Amino acid sequence: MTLLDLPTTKEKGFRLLMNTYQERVYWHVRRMTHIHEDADDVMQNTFIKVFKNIDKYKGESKLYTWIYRIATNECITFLNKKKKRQHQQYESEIDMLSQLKADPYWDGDEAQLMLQMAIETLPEKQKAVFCLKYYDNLKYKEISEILETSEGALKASYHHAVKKIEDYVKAHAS
Amino acid sequence: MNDKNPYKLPEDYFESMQREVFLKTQSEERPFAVPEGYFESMQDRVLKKAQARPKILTLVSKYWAVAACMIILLVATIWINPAPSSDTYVLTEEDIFDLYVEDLNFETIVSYTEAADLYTLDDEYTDESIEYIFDTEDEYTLYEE
Repeated sequence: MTLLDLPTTKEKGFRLLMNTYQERVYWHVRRMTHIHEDADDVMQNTFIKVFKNIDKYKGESKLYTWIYRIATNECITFLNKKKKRQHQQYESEIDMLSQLKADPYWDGDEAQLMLQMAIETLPEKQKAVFCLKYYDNLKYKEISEILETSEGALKASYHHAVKKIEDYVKAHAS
Repeated sequence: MNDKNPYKLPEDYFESMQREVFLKTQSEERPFAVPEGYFESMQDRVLKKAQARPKILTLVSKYWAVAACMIILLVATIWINPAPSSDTYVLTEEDIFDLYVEDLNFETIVSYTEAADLYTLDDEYTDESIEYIFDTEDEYTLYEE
């Protein structure tokens, strides 16, 4: 962090920061956006914001929760804009399915595809809760810092998300 | 069995466990991939955009910008407030007298003048001035009704 404070060493410090967090943040963003191109857009916006606002980081939360918060907000903003373009959730699902199948950087089988489709049906914030808990194995306390939501509400949201995903998979598995 | 078991479980524990196990069986491997060298190049791409300076107007282009603003302002002023055309006639003081004062007859003018005199003659109201005020007030009341 001291490297980031000085203009002469800011770039070096930022490269170290990216080395430490970029992959972890990328996979979170990718699970939220599914498509590599979309994830790349969100990642660039996220780290540009981190670079420009690093002096506002007060150290009140852990650095990675601060970066996760920026990344998650960027994801939600991006996905809401995308949804507005596509008008409906149904269209979004169908669109996501065709995009994922066409994405050269998707290597999942049918079961994995269905799981991603089920995740896609969740509202954006609930999707974030699910991904942060299930894939990133973060504690509710950490997710609470990232999403600025109470732990109780997060627990309820996660359990609802899991139930929805289970119902979706059962309904669509043939 | 329940009598001998001192342990308790969270509500819906088994249902939650089943869901967790179900999810774990769905995705053991990461289905996503990234282009080769993606993470290596990301730092350079982000830094290039983050450090890009906003375009600054040069001195010459500043003058052009000021000139353009002045032209726009001038055009807008003319557009909103056009110069009087040949059809428009500006009233002179003489015209105003002809239009509005000419219709008043001599008696009306005298009565206005007298009333004005009654008010200005003295600071205190005279009997006449009070009578006049009452008279005119009645007229106004009548008109209002």
